[in-house]
Amino acid sequence: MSCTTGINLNADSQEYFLEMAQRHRKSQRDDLVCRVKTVIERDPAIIQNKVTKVAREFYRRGKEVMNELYRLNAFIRFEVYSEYLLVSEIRPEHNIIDLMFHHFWRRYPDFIILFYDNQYGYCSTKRPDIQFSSLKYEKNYWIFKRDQYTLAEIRTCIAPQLHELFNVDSFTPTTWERYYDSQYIKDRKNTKMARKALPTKMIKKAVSGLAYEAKRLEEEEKDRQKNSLLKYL
Amino acid sequence: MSSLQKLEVLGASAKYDTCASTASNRTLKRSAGYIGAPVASGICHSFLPDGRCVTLLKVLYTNKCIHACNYCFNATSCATRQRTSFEPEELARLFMNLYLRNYVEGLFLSSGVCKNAEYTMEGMIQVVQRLRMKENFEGYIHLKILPDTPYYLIKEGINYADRVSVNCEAPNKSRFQELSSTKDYKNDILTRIAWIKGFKRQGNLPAGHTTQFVVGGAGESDRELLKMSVWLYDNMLLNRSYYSAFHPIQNTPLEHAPPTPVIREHRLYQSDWLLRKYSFKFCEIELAFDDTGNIPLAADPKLLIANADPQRYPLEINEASYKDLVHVPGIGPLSARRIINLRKNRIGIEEFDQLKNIGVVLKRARPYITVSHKRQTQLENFLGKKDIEVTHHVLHDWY
Repeated sequence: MSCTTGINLNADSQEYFLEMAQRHRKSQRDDLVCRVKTVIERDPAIIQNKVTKVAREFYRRGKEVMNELYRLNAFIRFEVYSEYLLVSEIRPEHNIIDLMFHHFWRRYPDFIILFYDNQYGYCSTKRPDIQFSSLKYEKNYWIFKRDQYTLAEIRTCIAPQLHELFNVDSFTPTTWERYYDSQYIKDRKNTKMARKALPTKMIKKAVSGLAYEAKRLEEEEKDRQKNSLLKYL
Repeated sequence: MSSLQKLEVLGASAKYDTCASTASNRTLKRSAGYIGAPVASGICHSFLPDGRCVTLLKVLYTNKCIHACNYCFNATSCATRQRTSFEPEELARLFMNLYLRNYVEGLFLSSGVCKNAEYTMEGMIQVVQRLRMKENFEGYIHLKILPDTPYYLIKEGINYADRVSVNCEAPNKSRFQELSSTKDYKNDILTRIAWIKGFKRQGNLPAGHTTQFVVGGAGESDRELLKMSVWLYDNMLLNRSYYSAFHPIQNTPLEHAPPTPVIREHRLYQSDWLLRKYSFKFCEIELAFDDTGNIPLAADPKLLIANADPQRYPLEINEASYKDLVHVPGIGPLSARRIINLRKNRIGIEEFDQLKNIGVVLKRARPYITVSHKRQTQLENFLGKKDIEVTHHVLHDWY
């Protein structure tokens, strides 16, 4: 996990958990991570032992962030544009956007990745020939307010910096939907398990990424409820 | 037939093939000019209403097949099935479109046998070759090796794939003959697995090789299946076996046979896990079998093994070795490692609750362990003080 997140640490190590817990939504407001750091300096075993409330909360926060990062990396879907641009809408709860860039840089090194959340756009690439001089650079990405630049303006900004455009094949989400349905084995229906793997909270965070899966899951759940009611009639 | 229709038909034809892992330890040699990357831990991109994850684009190259396997979705006898094949370029483009949009983690390419194994395998290799050479795809590829594939094609396929697999389908020759009359178990299957072992030894397969069994199709027992898996792990350097519960398919010779309960598949995976990850020996697994050579569906095999050897328990948690700890129900390799690490740091376990924080499932482990030579035989040991007060209160109201 460490190599895809860009953090050069062992995923089981306390340092890795520290890095992750620091990014938790709640860690911006309290001093839990600072307290844990002080304890670790004195005796790392106290935290490792997980017997104190603070230690347990620390590991819980770390895990929550890791979980969100892992799932969002998997569940988001991109729209592809000819300017080597991949665009996705996300709603992360914790501060993980720079880590997500690390994951996708490795996967699409020639592409520019653009994430939108409620208010901002975050743009990043590994290509040295692409620059956004008018945007603010932070950590490893350019950041701008959504109402400041439209997607068309971003595309116009990228196009002159490229030697050639990317050849985008025509693609509709139907391709995925038909494939998804073809894989379903109805006799093995287990919506409870599927719901556990695709919680509503995650579906909302991935915005449109899991829209079809959510719809199908709902249909199947309704179908199950209907059948279980029919048994009693 | 359009590409979309082909995807639907050939996707449905591959849905009974099992592949859960996408982890590959291959290192990237390029820094740009490619698409896709292998990851050390698998990623699930979606989940189906049946609870299974969708990780790879799992399709057949063709569903035309000369073989007549009694259980198979694509057997020649299934006259009603629509038959089609992908063009190598068509499949490669379709896959790249899905990969670029982050729908899948890699490709799982299997196939029916059209004309002969050599002819079909050549087509499949063209697909993966195109992905690697023309589309510059560096992600995960799982390539199925068809029965009776020639040595030179296996060698070529391995150049492009992260993982390959040959389906055993049955645990031995006699059971295999009940499933398929057109294939030879020893020559078409086992010889190919032995060749793959040779390539793996040379370090050519970053994600190793696997196999798959149809559970319950030929009336075989769990003992036969697990014995074969152990033989493959020990002698063929197999990474893992997959078990697929038999499900009768219309218009096949076994369409009226009873389906295998999915729980049986689960029990087999549990036992297989004990063999691979918990370092159990096959003779220990045998303690879980009933008179028919099957694991009882109602019980966890680890629990059955522990109950069959009562002299071993209770174990003192602060003194037991790693090997003994992983044998306790409710303690896995991770929890056992944590207990040993704490011991190395001179931190002893004093309370049962500490074990819970480490990750031990106390509900299962309690009868088999002592903590600081204390066993939970009294109510105080089973419940916390608060719980006792509540219990007394409830009992008082009751009477």
